[in-house]
Amino acid sequence: MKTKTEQFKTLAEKALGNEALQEALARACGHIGRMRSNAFQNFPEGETLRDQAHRIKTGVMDNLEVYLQRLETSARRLGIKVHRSPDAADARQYILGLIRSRNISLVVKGKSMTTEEIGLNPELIKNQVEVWETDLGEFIVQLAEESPSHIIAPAIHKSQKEIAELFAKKLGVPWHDNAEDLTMVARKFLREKYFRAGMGISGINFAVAENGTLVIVENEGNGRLSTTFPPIHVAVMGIEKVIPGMKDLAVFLKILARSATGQKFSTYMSFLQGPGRTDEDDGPEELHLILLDNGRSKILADPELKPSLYCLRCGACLTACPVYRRIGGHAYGWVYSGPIGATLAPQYLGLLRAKDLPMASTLCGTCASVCPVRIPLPDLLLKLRQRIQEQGGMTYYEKAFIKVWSVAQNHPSGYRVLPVLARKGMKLFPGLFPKGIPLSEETFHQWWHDENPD
Amino acid sequence: MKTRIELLEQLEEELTALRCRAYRAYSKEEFLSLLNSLLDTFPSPKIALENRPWIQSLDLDAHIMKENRHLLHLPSKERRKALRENNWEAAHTVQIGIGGADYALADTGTLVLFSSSSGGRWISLTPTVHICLLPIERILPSLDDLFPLLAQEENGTALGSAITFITGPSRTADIELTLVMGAHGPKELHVITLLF
Amino acid sequence: MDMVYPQTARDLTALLKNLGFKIDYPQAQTCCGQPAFNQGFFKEARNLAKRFLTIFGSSEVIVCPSGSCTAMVRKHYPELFSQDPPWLAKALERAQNIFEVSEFLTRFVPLEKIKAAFPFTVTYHDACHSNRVLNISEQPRKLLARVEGLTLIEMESSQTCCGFGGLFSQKFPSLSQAIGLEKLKAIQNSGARWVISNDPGCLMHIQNRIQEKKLSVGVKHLVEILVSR
Repeated sequence: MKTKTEQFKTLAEKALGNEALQEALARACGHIGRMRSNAFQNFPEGETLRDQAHRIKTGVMDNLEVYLQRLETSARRLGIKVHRSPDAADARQYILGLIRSRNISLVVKGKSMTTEEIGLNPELIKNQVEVWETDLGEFIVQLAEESPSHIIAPAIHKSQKEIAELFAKKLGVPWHDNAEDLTMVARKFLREKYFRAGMGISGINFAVAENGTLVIVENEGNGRLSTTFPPIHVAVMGIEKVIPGMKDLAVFLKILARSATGQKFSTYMSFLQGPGRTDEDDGPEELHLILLDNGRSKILADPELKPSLYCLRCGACLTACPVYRRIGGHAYGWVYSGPIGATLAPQYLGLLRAKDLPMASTLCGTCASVCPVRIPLPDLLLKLRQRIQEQGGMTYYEKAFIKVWSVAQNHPSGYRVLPVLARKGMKLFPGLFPKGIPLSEETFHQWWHDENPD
Repeated sequence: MKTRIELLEQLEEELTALRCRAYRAYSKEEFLSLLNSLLDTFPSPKIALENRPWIQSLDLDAHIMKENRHLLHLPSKERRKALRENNWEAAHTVQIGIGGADYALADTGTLVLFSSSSGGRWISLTPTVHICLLPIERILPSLDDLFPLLAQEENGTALGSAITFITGPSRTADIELTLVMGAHGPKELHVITLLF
Repeated sequence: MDMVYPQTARDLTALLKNLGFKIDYPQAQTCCGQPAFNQGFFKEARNLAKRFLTIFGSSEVIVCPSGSCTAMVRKHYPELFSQDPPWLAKALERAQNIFEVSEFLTRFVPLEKIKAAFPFTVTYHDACHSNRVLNISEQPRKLLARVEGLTLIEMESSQTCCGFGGLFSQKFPSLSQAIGLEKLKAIQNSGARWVISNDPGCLMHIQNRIQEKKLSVGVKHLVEILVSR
């Protein structure tokens, strides 16, 4: 997708004016948020598991290369082909290489933010490959030629009517006025794709270093279908997704679905341990694992911002964020949105390219309170603000305001003169001053001084 | 420490909340009667059985075959090749998959299937209806009780290419948050616990 | 507080005096530095933090009628000086004895001593820094329970942000307003006549939204309620 982080203010303003979007977001975030909160209320071990999850991730990031090498060895032992991609272009090339050498013309995809991140679909289409997203939300968004607006509910911004119209137009089916029929349309349409596809591409939720197990978590079954029938399965995984062992996996599985949708477990969790065996009816002939860096090791080398990599892509912070709730995912202009998106965008795309994203937060901390791995998101946003400021990302007016203000705060006389000047200034030049601040006639300082002269 | 029956009760509660149907069979006769009644609710179903030894030993072929039911027979050797060459038509057209579970997790209503035991993954995946047979002694309290067992069974070939955890029928809420079953995987999941 | 709601500060002075505390108000004090800090101006924030720690250096206990300022000192001052051991020591020491007003009262004052009357329906807004950084949520409610005639009606999601966010409200005014309007809806739905909180930023923001929508809901700081007769 085309990155539009520079247009954040405009896009956010537009989103605020979109009544239909406002309604959809309010309903979706309200519902999903309640599910998550109910799930954790009835789950006393939840808080301990979150602490554990945080510790495990910290340990992984402190030794990432070790775990990645262990994963490579274990995975290869299972017959999985492992390839390290330093960047998006390399990952795309690897996949295209496979497609060309096997003459593949049809690819099915399970849900994967990482493949969005590397811009895979446009590249495949450019090379005359028929690509189908199989997750219902992603399928809808693909037909609409839009990008997903939420990590776990990609089509949250579309109404049922819009979807019915879309299916009728793009798939040539009659108008269906209910979600069930529309879902069956998608089910039927995608069915034969799984069986005809030459390649299935998926993401990976976790990869276990100790034994090479690759884990895919989903509710629909499209992930299983995409990774069972096509003769080649390519799994694209951010390097930060590796975890040490099976007992660590248990910790994450217990809190992932609860955080994302409020379910105890997602409907399907697949532990993949290699391509299909000879005594099995199905499974791919080849399983390729792409370990994607694409800027992650840069973040890894940053001790202040390293926790950004702990993210499980559960979407809980998006759902909880008062800002996301009002503007939706598209306003962030990049594949990852919400608080985690605001944290990652400046690091992946450049501080100044994405400078508005970390600023667009009240630092209310709701994101951190729901993050299953306890990423200290507000603290990371503050650190990013510091760096943006240091790199000249603030406007001249903002810098001047803070500097003048700081000087005044450092000198009591300046401090006392300021409100007097400000009151006068607000009357004369209202545009220059912050709005909505009702300055009092007499300050407390003055009152105390009068009451306690000495 | 819960008893077997207590675990089963907990499992059934979870399964029901997940919109699965849960049944018990205390004898082989009861099981066959149950299965036949369930199959009767489908007009002319095409059925496939997992290749699991203990399911094969139940000799269901003989007991469930009726005029309007079509049981899929795949070659015993080279099934994979045959299925793939035929463009997976079997997986495409079978409506009811009858298979087993290697374990079940009572606290979450989860079925655990090893692809080596099932002989593949498709029977619990492509049919519209998945009927899962679960021997009662396979019910574990939770995920934590399963993982040590996985480590024990692991010798590279025992578990197969995939361990699949199934918690309810396939579902989605991508359209306006309306919950719809059978998004891509099975629409119905029936679990028959065998207590014989 | 000094410039916008001095009345609240005066009320706090009266309240603490009546409870028998000796109050000192270091007149050289200005600001804890949070606005600079939140905008990423850590250097300027550090200077103001040093000033704060110096001016309050001899104060035994600091009581602050703002949750976010208290959070700034308690949480962020040590962070600001993480690379500066002598100042870090000062910051850590200060973090031990700066209290937001409801924390202070519920911790150091027997509840029976709190006597006030405010025979109206109120709803309480849990300001973000107070709630999520300082874990304050019971304390204000314990105090409000002591107020004669007061009926506390909990609004839906009292912990949701009001949308102020300091300079966020100036940088993203429409967003700030939109978030505030949702808080306003919750306040309205509660049916309460007054909305109370412990953060002047939130109160100011909510007041502005109320004025915009011409609602007949009043806004008061917790301290104002506690001195009401």
